[in-house]
Amino acid sequence: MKNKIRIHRLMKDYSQAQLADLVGVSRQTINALEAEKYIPSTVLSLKISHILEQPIEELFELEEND
Amino acid sequence: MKKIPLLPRYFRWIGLLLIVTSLVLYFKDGLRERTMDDRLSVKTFVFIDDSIGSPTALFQIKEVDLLLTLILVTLLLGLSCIAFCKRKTEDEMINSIRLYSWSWAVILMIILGTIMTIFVYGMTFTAFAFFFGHLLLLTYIAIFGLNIWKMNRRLAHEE
Repeated sequence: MKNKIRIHRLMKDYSQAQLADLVGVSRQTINALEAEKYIPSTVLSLKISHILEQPIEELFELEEND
Repeated sequence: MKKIPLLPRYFRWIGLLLIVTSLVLYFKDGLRERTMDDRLSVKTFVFIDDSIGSPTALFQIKEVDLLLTLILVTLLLGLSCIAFCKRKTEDEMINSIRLYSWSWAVILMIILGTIMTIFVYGMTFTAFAFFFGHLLLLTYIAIFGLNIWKMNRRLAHEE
């Protein structure tokens, strides 16, 4: 699954640490998400979507093999 | 979401202390010729004691050598304290790494257990059987630690 978390985070001018604090996870988790090494749960996806003020569909995109 | 009950973070220091205690007991015991006087004989309640050379005891108070028991229990508790203590930040990715590490630890121990059961006999197999649980915890701790280290290294690279 691809995501555009990094782009929207930078558009909001948040650092990884700030976004991590806002959604209640570690900075490593945000880093892993942006590097597409980890697929978040529905709860975390919704939290990120709320903080970045973007719909889920805009943040995450399914790939062919998903 | 169901949460795994974990121990407070300071338990890893308690775990380390228990492991060191166990290793000290193990090497102190292993480095000398043991006589009957060296035995740590204590009267204790046993479920079963069918040691060679003595009648089988079932649910009795019996004098037994507790040194090996102490070594095994302190090591098991020490490793458990480390394996089940919380990280500084507990979130869903840490839980996911935890589950991944447990899965691989169990798979590796099943493979190792099968190999040891088929190809290893005698005292070595007995020693392996003694330490099976310890090895499972140790494998889990190693896989979990490796994954956390890789994650932190990736973060450091980005900085």
